[in-house]
Amino acid sequence: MSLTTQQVTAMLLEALNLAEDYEADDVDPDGALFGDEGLELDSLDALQLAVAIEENYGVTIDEGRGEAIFQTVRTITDHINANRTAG
Amino acid sequence: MDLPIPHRDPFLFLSTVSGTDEAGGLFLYDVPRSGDSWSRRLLPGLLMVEAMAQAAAAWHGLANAAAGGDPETGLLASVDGVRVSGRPRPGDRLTIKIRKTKAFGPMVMLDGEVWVHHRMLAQGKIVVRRGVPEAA
Repeated sequence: MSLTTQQVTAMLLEALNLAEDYEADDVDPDGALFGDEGLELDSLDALQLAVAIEENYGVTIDEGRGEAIFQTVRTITDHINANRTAG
Repeated sequence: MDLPIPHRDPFLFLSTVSGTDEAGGLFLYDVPRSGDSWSRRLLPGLLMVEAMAQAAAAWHGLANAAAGGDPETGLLASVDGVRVSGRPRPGDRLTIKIRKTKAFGPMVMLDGEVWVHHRMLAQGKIVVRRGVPEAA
């Protein structure tokens, strides 16, 4: 079964210790995650997010494609759904 | 010992590089027996965390140089999941183990452990950022 953007948002907020500051509904699945917009994530968050995705879904984020995959919650969700094995 | 980090005695908590490769490194620190403020007390747990951080940064610089790269020093970015289960005594030799677990963008995550006499005293996750300190 495919993950929803809301499920991935919840995982992201938990992994980055942002769950106390945001609800999953607060995050625009098509909004930018890094830089001065949205959640304003940085390179340390990217590493922690890559580790969390690997641990939670068994999906490795290729370093060279990280920038494209981590654009929005939706691009992350699409990548996980396209690459994880059933379970 | 010439380590690629700016720390110097008494704020350097690495005495010897036992070995490094692309996957991690092994460092030793001899807790002083006498002659300074640490000699009359147990080494505080926080200094074992500092030793792991220094080992992570030193490993980053040594591994980078070994691979033919610039002798850049890893900058400490974060410390997480620290557990301290004991404290070394004056004269103890600490073995500080660093193992790379993940690299992503400019960040490198390492597992750190501090051992004395086959007993692990501290562990934690260290993240260093690739780069060199900016000039003051």
